[in-house]
Amino acid sequence: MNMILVRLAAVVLVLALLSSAPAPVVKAQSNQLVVNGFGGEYEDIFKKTLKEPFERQFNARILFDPTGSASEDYAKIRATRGDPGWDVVVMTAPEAILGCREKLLQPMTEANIPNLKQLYPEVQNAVAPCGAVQEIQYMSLMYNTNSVRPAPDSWKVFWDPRYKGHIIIPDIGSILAVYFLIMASYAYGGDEKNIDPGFDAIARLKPNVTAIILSSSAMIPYVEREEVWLLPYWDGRAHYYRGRGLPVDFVIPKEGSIFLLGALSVPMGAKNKALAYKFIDWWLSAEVQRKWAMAYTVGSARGGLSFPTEHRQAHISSIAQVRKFKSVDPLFIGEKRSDWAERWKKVIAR
Amino acid sequence: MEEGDRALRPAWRERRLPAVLVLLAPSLIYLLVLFFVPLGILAAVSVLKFHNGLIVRELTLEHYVKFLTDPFYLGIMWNTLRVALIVSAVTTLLGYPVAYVLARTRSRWKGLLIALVLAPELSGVVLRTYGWLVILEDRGVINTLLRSWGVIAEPIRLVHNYTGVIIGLSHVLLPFAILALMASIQAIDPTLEQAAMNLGAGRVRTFLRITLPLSAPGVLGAFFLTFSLSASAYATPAILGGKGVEVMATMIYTQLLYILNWPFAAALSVALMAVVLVTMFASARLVGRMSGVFQ
Repeated sequence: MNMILVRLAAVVLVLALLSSAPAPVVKAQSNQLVVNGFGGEYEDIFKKTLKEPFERQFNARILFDPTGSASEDYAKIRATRGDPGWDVVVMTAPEAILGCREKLLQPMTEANIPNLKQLYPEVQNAVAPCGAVQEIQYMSLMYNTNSVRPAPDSWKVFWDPRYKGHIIIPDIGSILAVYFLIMASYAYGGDEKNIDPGFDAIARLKPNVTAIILSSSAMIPYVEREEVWLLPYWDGRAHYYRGRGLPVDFVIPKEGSIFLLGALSVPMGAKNKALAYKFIDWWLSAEVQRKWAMAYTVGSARGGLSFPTEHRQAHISSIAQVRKFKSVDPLFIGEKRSDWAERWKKVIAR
Repeated sequence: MEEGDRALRPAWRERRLPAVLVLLAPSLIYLLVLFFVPLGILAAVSVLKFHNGLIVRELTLEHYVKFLTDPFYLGIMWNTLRVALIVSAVTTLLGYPVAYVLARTRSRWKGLLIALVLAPELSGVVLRTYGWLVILEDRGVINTLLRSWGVIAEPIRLVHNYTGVIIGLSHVLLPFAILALMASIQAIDPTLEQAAMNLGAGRVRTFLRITLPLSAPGVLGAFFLTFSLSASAYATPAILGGKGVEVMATMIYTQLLYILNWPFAAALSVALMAVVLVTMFASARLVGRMSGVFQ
């Protein structure tokens, strides 16, 4: 009797530990598209702005997989040798570029996706041929409007002793941390090629930092409790949380910042490439680009879209704005990332 | 008696061995395909070159050399083992009295009590760990209470350091220790304890001379189970660690899923597995010798 109880308990224990559910196995159909994106509010916005209209217009069915960050998605593509079970995957420039170098993502052409030629060439070329830029975000300086006064205008505000203990910085695994490191370098006399001032600045900042967090969404609870007042954050998400009533605002400091290109890609092993191209082309069309940029509060790489003034000022919506940002070669970042990560970890551990 | 034993054993083996193989076959095949083959792949990836962000098909031992010669990575291994040792000691010590009560109670609520011990496992490790964050952080429950009572002026750092990781892991792993200990204490015949007491041994002496030595396999099992689980734990150190806290699992995770340096991640995994295995074998032998002293 008792042994049965113990065994039962052990089974319950094991079941409770098996928390990750397997991905659904999907049989390919000509009108069915499996799209991998992100969870949380992204999923809701995707559903309303893209999934439902596309399904109606093209008599298709989209299965949306919200799991994984961009680099986790890429890890899955690599682990499955280009066949993760998705037809379209939403990632960012670094993964799209790496995917081409590792021949795991399908190169795309203007013949497949005519709307590619409507994007700013200097933006689209950065991720071509395996990525299509569906949005542009940038690293903004997000701050608590109750506690940080006056509004900050420099990245150096992070090193202001008044804000000690109210700072979050991302962990080096995330591209946000790489950008923060580079901008710290710019703020203190260096740049991405001369990164030493950046690492020196991070070493000085470490005692002032509350937490170092890998996932940007995990930073928000600290911001909600107003425990953290300063953090680097993507403009689109900062806008979203400001809109939800958090006492925050976001700025581009005077030293500038770096933008992050969103990228749509088709894995080599995609079952329904024809519909994948159709979906990407539709997403890049003027009307959908405008709707997506408004709904997800991000910038667009397509010119000639009309946005309300507030949106135009807060997000990238013209090539002139694009050029105001630091142009950091994503390929260069890709090559340096592993070394920088090691150096960062050593600085933080010291 | 001993002679009879020797005479019996070969016959026992002859008759039962095929049956044993048949019974073992499913799990052996399962392990072979889903455990040893992937481990082989892991080992193979760990000797590939990584250059400028790409995995190159060229054999190298540079990742192992880096791990073994860089004090930073050796330090992370040491942190991991230190946390695992403390956590397994804490959970085994805390789990023993609970397991003893559960094993010996005749209460009709026994089932409920066991369910209560296991209840935390139902909520998932990530959720529970966030719960600890709310309790332990600077503006969390503990620090707020202590400050309002005037016990402390500045918050005590209970989280974003190894203290937080050890608290969180001990909670997560306590049910494992209790289950392992309970099974072993339950197997001890209570009449042995009664006999000791009849012969004049006090409760403490009975426990030290009878119960504890007989439950040694359970203590060992609980210790090793929680040791290996905490040495490989990811979620708790990732959430409660934060600033400057790095263990092997968090480092492997970052290398694998974010830096995408798979060869180095694989080498770190192989190193972690090797060290955990060696530690476990070594301490099993040590404890085996020590428990020999008891008998």
